[in-house]
Parts: sequence; C-alpha cells; structure tokens
Amino acid sequence: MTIYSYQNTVFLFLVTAVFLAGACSSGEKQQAAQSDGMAMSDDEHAAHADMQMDAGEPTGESIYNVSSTWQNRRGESVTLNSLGGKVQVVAMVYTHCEHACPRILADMQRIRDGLPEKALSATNFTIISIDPERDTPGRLTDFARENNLSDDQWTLLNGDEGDILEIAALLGVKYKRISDTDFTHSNMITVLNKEGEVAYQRRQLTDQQDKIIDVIHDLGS
Amino acid sequence: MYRKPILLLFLLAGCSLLARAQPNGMVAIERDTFMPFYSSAGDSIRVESFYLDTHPVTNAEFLKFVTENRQWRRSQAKSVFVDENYLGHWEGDLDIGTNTAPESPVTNVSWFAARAFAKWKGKRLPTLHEWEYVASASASKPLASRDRAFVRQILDWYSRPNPEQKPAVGEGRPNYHGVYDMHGLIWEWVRDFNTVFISGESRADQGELKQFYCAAGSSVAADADKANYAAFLRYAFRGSLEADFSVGNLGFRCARDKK
Repeated sequence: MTIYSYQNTVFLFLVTAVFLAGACSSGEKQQAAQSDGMAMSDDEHAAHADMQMDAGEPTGESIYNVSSTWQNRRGESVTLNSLGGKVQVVAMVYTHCEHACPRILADMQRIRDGLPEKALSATNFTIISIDPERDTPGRLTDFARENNLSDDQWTLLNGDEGDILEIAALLGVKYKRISDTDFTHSNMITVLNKEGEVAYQRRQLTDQQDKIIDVIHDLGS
Repeated sequence: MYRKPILLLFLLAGCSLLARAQPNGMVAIERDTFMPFYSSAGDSIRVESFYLDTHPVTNAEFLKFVTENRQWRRSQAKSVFVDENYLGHWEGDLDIGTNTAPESPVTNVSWFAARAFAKWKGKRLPTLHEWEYVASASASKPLASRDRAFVRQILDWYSRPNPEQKPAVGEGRPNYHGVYDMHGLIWEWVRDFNTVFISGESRADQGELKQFYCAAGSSVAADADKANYAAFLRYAFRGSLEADFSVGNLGFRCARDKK
C-alpha cells in the first residue's frame, strides 16, 4: 500500500508538471488543490515546493477527490478531505434502523476495542447516514450520546442525497429506500488508508474482527 | 485546422446560453404514477413533474464539457472516478476522431463523469423511476410497458448487436412525451443506479443475502414482472454496473427539477 501511494504521488507530480506547462501556455489558471492532508517526506516537499503547488491534492484513487460538503453532529460544514491523515473505518447506515445497523455499529465498536492504543490514535470511525431527512445533526448527537461515540474517535455525517449516492458509488455500497421508515443497504465496513484510498472492505456481518483489526493496525503504523 | 477553434468558440457560447435559459432541448414530463417492473401487489410509484432532455448527450456536447473542465479529460480524470476505458472511442483528450460521429450519443462515460456533466449544465441525472416512467411510453401511449408489441420491439433491439458506428441521436421516432432514443440506441445511466438490488429468488439465497444486506424484512426484487422482460434486462444490467465503469453502449441524458 505504501509503495502504491508513493507511486501515485510521483504520478501526480508528473501529471501536475504537464498540467502546469499546459495551463501557462493557454493562459488558464484554475483548480489549485485545497488543504493538505497527505503526509510527505521532506524530499517530496522540496520537489513540490518548486512546483508552487499545494501538497493537498488527493491521490488518483482517493475518495477525497469528491467536492461535497457535509454536516457533522455539531452542524459544522466539513469536507471528506478533512478525514485525511487518519485511517478511517467507514459505514453507511441510518440511525433509526432496527435490523443490521446496530450490528454494524457493534462491530465497529468491537474493532475499536480490539485496537492497541497506538493504532487507535491513528484511526477514526466515520458513519455516513443514508437517511439525511431524519438523521439531522441533532439526531446524530443524540445517537452518539446513546452509543458512547466520542467526538474525537467518531465522525457522524449528514449530507445531500446526491452526495450520499456519490459516496455510496465510490464505496460500492448499495442502498434503497423501501418504505417511509426503512432502507435496505449493504452491510459493508470499509477501511480507508490515510490518503482516503479504499484499503479493505468487509462485505458481510461476522463475529470475527481479527482480520480487519490487523489491516487497520498495519495501515496506522 | 483553423476551423476548430472558431467552431469551439461558437459551441462554448451556445452552451453557456443553454445553461441559463429555460429548458432548451428538454420537455416537461407531468406528474403521474406507474408500476415499475419489480413492484409487488400493485404498488404504484408516483413520479413528480420534471424536465427531461429530449436526446441523449452527444459526443460533441461532451467534448464541450471536457474542453471547459480539464479535470474530466481522458488523460486527467482521476482513476477513482473513471476506469481505463473512459472515452476510449475518442482519439485524444479533445479529439473525437474520425470513427465517431459528433452527433452520436457519447458512451464510455462513467456515472461520475455523467453526473459532473449534468452539474455543469445546471441539471442532474434522471432518477431510476423518472427514466423508467418515460421509457415505458410508446409512440402513442404514456404507459405501454405491458403492451406486447412495444416490449417485443425493445427486446428486438436488445438482441441486435451494436453497430460499429452509432447513428446520430434523434433519428428514431419520438415517444408519447416527445422524447427520443429511450430505446434502440444506447443504455443510459440514472442517478440512483446503485440502489437497485437483483437478489436471488429462492429462499435459500435469502438467508445468505442477509449477511450482506440489511433487508429490513422485505425482499426487494422477488416479484419479477414477467410481462416486462425488457425492464428486467435493464434492471439486471444496472445491477451489474459500478460507478466508474465506462461501457461502449452506455451513455446518459440529463433531467432537471420542475419548480
């Protein structure tokens, strides 16, 4: 994985060089990337500094390439790029679900409990609601309190329906509203590496958390 | 060669006008109810009024889009949004090439790219229900998806191989709503393509599926509507897609809310 992202960085660097050359000649200036979330070595920093280019451009495979904005439990506007820098354990659920979602959440909590302290400090848990009408920031706050989802480890997101579909598409999560109150949805838990690339996906409910804990541990160290 | 920049200028000017004006090249679809193919026990679905493009998006239109939106050019698009076949039938980033008619429908575009195009136009992709509702209209009737001759016609098209060179959009006969090419030319992306489930029909499969999907006590696609086999093929096809796929006979058209 590290080798892969390094290659991606180099690739981006080349693309950027070509892009800048092209942009200068045609007099266009647009889309400098925003904010930084990518850890880089000093050498790479130096190389990029020469380019006058922001370091924050997500890698080609990063889901942080989306431009959508979301609301967290406090009603603050956040971008997915702000999740960068930590390993993310992501699930898409709705808080009124009485079927699989409580089990997905319980699995995430068991994963958290299974991580050694150091790996845990490099990990965050993100829940994206597929029910934006009912899962308002207020509801997400209540849900977090009921389930002891601390603010420093758990991010709960409410967003626009189109943006939820986009994230679902990126993660390969399928969902569908089947009544006024319920959805069917994949029981998927996704692990994103620090760059926001899908590193691992667990598609079904299981009592075995060892494998996913190992993956998170390796990505976090 | 010098013709190209001038032509492009015209195209760009035209499209910025289009984006602002009241729906040009769109028709109003009035509110109605219909029965999607998987609906069970007479569930009918209401589709609210909306605007739909009369034609699928063409290669020429998509060229304008990538010209203005560098990040969606073939060589620039992020790999998370498009697979390696993205615009694979073009000869270059800004070159449709000689084998593709500019007025033919654009294909080999991912759902992400189609969605970005729609946003750029101030539009959106039609929902699955919107698309299926309009697609269920024959030339003379708004709801013909249980009309044997109509379904036969669609199935005939599904069974024909794709022509080497796609014809231009709008050459066929418009349907009841005045919309062209819902059938017979390409398949089309819809906004919520990834909400479709095709699940196994046997009980045994369902136990297995519970491990993967929270089914909330309902089997979604269990009651396949036998009279509408054409729709079944479309649902099955959509169910096989991933959003970054670029497929040679899969394009799109745009919709807009009617307020």
